[in-house]
Amino acid sequence: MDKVLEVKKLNRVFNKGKKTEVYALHDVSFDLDKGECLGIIGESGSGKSTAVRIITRLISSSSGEVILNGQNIKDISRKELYKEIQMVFQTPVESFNPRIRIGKSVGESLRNSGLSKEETKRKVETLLEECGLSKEFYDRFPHELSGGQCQRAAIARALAIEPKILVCDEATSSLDVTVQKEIISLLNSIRERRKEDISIIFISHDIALVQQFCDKVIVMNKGEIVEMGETKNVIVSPKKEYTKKLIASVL
Amino acid sequence: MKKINVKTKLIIFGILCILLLLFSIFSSYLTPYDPNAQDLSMANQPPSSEHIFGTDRYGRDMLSRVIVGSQASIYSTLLLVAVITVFGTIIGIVCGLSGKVVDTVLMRIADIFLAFPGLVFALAIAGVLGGGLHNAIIALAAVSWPKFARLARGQTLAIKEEAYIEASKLSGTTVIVMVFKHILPNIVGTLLVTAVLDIGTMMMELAGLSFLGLGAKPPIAEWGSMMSDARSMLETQPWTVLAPGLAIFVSVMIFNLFGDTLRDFADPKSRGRRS
Repeated sequence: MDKVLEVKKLNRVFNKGKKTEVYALHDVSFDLDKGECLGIIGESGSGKSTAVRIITRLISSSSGEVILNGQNIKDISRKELYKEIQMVFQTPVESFNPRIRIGKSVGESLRNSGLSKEETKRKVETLLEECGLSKEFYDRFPHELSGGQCQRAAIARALAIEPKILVCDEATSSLDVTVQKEIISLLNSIRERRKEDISIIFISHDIALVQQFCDKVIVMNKGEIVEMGETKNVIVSPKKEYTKKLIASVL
Repeated sequence: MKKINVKTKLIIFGILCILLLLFSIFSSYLTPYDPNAQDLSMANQPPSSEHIFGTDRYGRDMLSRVIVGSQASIYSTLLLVAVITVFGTIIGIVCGLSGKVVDTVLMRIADIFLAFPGLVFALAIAGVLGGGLHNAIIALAAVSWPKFARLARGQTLAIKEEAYIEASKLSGTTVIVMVFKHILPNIVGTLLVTAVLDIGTMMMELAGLSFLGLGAKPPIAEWGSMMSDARSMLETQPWTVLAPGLAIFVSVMIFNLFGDTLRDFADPKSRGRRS
């Protein structure tokens, strides 16, 4: 399979005091294939979000490389990078500017890419409908939407520019179980529709959800990758002690 | 007794502010006499039906001078508040968004200005620049901007961490667009309330500089300098000091009440709490 993303020996070090160094990420390496869904699990503070924030260049790494379609992301302009990678955040309502209507926020990347107002509006309305929201949501403010509706809009926003990689950083954590299910089926339908055109990095605490949704899984602890492999292998028959404990604590 | 709700109060004080502004704009049409016309035979007349606020030592009608004085006093105060709000906000946002070096340098400069007592520092600057209303505005602006810079910086730093800013970055939005689309609209409320609350203070400080001879120059009618001119006559002809003093008191009160109500309206949590 073609690799769309290669993460090589990624490190993120924080200096705690002058001499003590704390590794938020330590030699993290993994690949993401075209059309693949990669799950990242681990307890809070294990470095899951740090890794994807480096991949999306929201923060920088201390060392290591992130290769996107054969090119180091540091050599790509942010504008070009964000045409390839988009992200869905943990807090759906807070990921929208409270003073801007949903439609405008969803279409921000399209407007930034030079699309006309009318064209953007038309495309955003189609996207909202694809994500299970009617056209009326275009003119609503974030506080007028539920958490689940906001997350659908956030997914629509992430898909607007047709990225090759979609990062879902705990995208279902703040939602209740039924809404989580709806979001997962929405993500599944997107995968089915776009097939090889979209790869997903899915960060979650919910191992059952990862088991159901992801092809491969990475288990992280204290900034390091503990175990990595096919989801069914890692979750059904984990090899490492930490993975066993983590799975036992939630399943 | 039935309590007046915040919205009604805001409308009442808002209308009073607008009336005060209209009054100052059209003041030259509202004067019963020429505010600069001298008539020494009418000097130091006490309040009467002909001259409601009496006359000053040159026989000029005090009511006319107070009415016309509103132009210089209110215009200069609003200009001053606008200058410090805009300048402070720009510096604050730059500090909040830029790296550690720029932030540290600009904030240490702000600290230097904050380290001196404001009015004393302004006196020194106005003294160096020379008198005049515009120099008084520059002097007070030089010492008053750090407050807005600190406020805007704090707000920007808080908003910068919001998920919608990160989402906007991922949408390829440039920094300038981000400032105008996402940051400013979300901090402008706090800054506006602070600016309105500052109008009263700035009016008093400008009047203070004028009172000390570092503000408007004669024969321009300005409330602070009118009080300064008449201060030696406080015991013999008190109306010459009280008339402009009353104008300052009323204007400051209107702006402060409007600022307080605006703050309560913008932040319902502060209702019923007075700092």
